[in-house]
Amino acid sequence: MSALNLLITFIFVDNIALVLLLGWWPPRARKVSSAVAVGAATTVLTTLSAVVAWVARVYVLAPLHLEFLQTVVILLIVAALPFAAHPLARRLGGPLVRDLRALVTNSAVLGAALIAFRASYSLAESLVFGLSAGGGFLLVLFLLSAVRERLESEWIPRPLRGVPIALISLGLMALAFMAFDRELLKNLLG
Amino acid sequence: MSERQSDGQRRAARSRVSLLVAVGLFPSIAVATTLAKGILLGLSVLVVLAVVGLIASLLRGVVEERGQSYVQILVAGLAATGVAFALQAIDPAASRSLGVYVSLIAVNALVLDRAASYARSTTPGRALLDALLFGVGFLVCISVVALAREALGAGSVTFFPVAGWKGVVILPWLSKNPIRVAALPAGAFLVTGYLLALYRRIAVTNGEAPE
Repeated sequence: MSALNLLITFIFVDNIALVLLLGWWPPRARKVSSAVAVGAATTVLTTLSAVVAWVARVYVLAPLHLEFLQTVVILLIVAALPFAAHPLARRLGGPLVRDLRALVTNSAVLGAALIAFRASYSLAESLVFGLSAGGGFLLVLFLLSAVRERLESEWIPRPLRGVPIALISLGLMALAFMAFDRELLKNLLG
Repeated sequence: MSERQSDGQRRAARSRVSLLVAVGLFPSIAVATTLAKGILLGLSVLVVLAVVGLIASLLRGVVEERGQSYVQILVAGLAATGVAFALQAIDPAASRSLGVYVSLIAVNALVLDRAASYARSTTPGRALLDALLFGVGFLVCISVVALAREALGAGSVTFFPVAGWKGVVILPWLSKNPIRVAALPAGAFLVTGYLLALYRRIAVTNGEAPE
């Protein structure tokens, strides 16, 4: 799969948040600015985890015929990422340091690694896949936080306030994203 | 006054529990498109919750505070891998249809929250009981959402095949006029959102949750 194909597929067609339902709920994403920060941190982590999955598959699990341990091995390495990424998170901002460990247990991070592992992507493909999976998540998180900011000034029936209206907004967003399908991709990229 | 306060606290705790279970539904809910798949996922989460809760409780005081989360993630990963193997051995077709979502139970919000907020500060018996109660609650919730999605989206209800019976009940009117979106990923968000709102409406009417 070409890089552009991967990029469009995992940002628009098979968006990890709207189609695969991975990554809900990030801890601090009510405002647009924090949604972008959380989305960017998640993109870094999905990219790292997809690359980690490639390293684990090619250099450890496949040679030892231990592919069945993929979840445990990838989870162990991914869980160690916050310690490595701590200095970077400190530069990016205070709240991210606290959220980094929570972000690692975000299903988007492990999900991206497992998808990359099972699809047997090459190193370059894993890198682009991780970036596009995280980019797709960032896009949805940004759109959702913009919707939530707008909803704060609107009247909503009591039972729908909070999580239910967020879920319904996501459902409508997922319906809109269905306009991007494989046929469209085929027509665009040949 | 104190009675009112404790009543309020109880209501807030119930509300938090319902929210936690709702959040725990993701991402498993993506593949819960039939009742049978919902039950399988619910049982898988129940087993992982019980194993992680029990081990987190047994390890309290043994592993130092900073390493506990790391150990819990490792135990959750091992438990999810074990469940994935068991499912593959019992029903390979169901295992294939659930894909990576069984492995993803390792990072389920409900599993990690119960281990971190309760199991590692209590006795193994209490931790196991808590895990079983939350597991059953999760099983009921995911089964209800899966049932609603299948009934609305396909006009059928899929149980497990028994003897000669395939385990599928066709619903008379809905099978001819299905609301297909309910079975799609967008439907997972919409059905869960509306069911959660309905639950809140009923709970508020009965005075069981804060408004």
